[in-house]
Amino acid sequence: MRQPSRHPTIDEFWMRLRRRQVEPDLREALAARTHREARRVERVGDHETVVAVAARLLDGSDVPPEAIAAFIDERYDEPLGYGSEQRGTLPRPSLIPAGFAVLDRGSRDASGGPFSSLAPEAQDAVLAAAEAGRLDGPEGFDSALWFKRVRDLALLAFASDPRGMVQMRYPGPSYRPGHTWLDAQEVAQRERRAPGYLTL
Amino acid sequence: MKPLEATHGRAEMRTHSGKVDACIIGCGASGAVLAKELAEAGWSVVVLEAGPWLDTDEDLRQDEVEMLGRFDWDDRRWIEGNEALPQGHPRDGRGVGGGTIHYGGVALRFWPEDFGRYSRDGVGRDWPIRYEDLEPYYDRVERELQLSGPLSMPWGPKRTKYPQGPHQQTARDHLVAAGMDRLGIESVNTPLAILTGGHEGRSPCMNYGYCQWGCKSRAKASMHVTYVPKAVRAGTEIRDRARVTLLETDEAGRISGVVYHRGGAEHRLEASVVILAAFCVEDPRLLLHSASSQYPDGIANSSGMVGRGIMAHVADAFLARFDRPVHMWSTAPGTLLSQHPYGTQPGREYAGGWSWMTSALFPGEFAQRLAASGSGLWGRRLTSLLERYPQFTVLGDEGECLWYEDNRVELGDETDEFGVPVPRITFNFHENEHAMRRDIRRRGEEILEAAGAAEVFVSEGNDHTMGGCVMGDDPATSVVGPDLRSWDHDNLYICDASVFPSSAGAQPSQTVMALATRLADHLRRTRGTPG
Repeated sequence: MRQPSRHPTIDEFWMRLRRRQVEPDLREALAARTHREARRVERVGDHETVVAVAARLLDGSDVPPEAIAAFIDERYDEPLGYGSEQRGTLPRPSLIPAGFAVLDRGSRDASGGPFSSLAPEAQDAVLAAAEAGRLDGPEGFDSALWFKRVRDLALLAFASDPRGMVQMRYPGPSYRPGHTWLDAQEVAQRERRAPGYLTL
Repeated sequence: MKPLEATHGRAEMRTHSGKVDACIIGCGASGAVLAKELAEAGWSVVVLEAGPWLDTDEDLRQDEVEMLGRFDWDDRRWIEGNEALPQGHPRDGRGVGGGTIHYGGVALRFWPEDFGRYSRDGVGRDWPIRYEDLEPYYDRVERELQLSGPLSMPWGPKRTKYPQGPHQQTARDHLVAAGMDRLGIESVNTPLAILTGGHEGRSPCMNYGYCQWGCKSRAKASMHVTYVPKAVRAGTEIRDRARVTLLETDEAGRISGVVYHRGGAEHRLEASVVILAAFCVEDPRLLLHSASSQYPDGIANSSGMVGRGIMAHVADAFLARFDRPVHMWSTAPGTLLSQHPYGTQPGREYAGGWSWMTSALFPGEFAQRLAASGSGLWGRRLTSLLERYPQFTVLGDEGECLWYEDNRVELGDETDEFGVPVPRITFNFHENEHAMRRDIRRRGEEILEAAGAAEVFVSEGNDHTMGGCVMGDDPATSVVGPDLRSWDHDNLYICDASVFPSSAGAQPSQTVMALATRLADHLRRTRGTPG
């Protein structure tokens, strides 16, 4: 199997954004996301638990789990475009904190320590049980739904962070004032990388 | 040349006071068309739009996470049933332009057989109008939007030439088209409401690829850069962030007032004609909530059909990984089309059919759809797949869902900030859709295997909500008649995808716009200028 193109560096990512003259305020917003990990989890659950879950969900991520956890904590109670809730289940502002509490309580009952103290394999086993809907919780708690919601948030955090974009080999946004897309050099590069891309 | 909305935007907009000729609720694919057409005929028109009026230059950003919810109807809605019917992005628009801000611009007509599903197959429902009734309006909308499309369409009814030439096919299209070709499946450049040449100050497509998050170049024919500025130019007033909460009736059964909240206060508007164009959940929600002692089951609901017959396309996404980069994000999402499996076909165990089209997902949505395609997709396995994002493309499908009375919108017990009950939506796919989904799955995997995909992940889903205020020719079994007028209220019309009696196997936007153009013609013809 042919390997994907060389892993670009974050410096190259920023350089390309500058070259494309991507809107300066967007570049600033993206840059700020590379410091998300400076913020501790305060609302959705225990900091160490949320970080541990983020680390397992995106094992191998170039975005630190602390940054993913901070995003989850910041945005978990927002609809983020999707307002629907499954009837009979807790809505997300209640569901997501309940799930982190369920993980910790279960870990303490089973091993005497919080979820973050478990070995990675044991953490994975708990998360697999959550994904399969096998974790019990308060009335209306559906662990499979909790798992999906938290994974979706983690993926949004990952994919909106320039470090995640670089890991995905996504070149980042293109809008710039005046709306000119790619310069001739980048068009040529794309054509070489993906024959059939054609002229833009 | 400046874009139209630069000279016909909010700043230049006329305002109206007192009773107007038409109040249109919702400024999306239907409301914007009606506003333009009626205002150009001399009607005084006010559009009440629940969402904001976004500025293309200032507000549209190529940033998935920050655009989420900016123009989506993401208030709480409770859903249940065997097929989760997600609400909000990308199907429920809220804002001037409605769902067209985020639609992919795929611009297909329904076929003649779609208007007679019951007569043809004994399932679903018939429309009270035929394809021929809508054909001239499809033509008008396509000219207005300046659709781009192939020189000829090998399927469907005969049609006029597309106003603009097709978009270029890209690496992903070449690969998928080759796979289809090996299986004897014809494909073409998708007709798109996205310019390939400039028009009225709108840029040709710049291949930002970001169509479904708001097009910055104005190449995509969102209502807010096409019909809306023309409506404003003709004298329409658009009141954005105006949330309609109640329809009032007089003793004669006419809609006597539209109550709405705007700027922290409650307002009331009187209009000779009220047109509801707020989409498939909010239309029935408002009608049911407006119940009174005179109409205890809700407005326009003598048939009991308000809220019934919600439909959504079977729309499973095939996430195919090739062994080389294809950069699916690089152009408009749906540039390759095949309607080979469209419509009811002999030898299949279900009615209706579907369209294939290539598609694209940006990193966040891609990651979520990929992860949802099977159990155990998290951890290192997921991150290693995400690193191969440039090698992925999406083959999408829009499969017909039949009309079922038990798929419905009702009012729940909880209320929102305006005191309106939160909707409850029950939605199930039935055996017809399950059988179609199985077939789509098998054939999609065949195509991608023939195309040389290294791996295929299938993320089940649905798309395009339709139905809820069905049109028909019998007042006992439908909400509106063939002219889209409520059977119960002389001056109330409903015009959007909620009136569809069938969903067809294609995107609904062109049919919504054609219906709106037809309704405007009907109103002009039958009511002149009511003021």
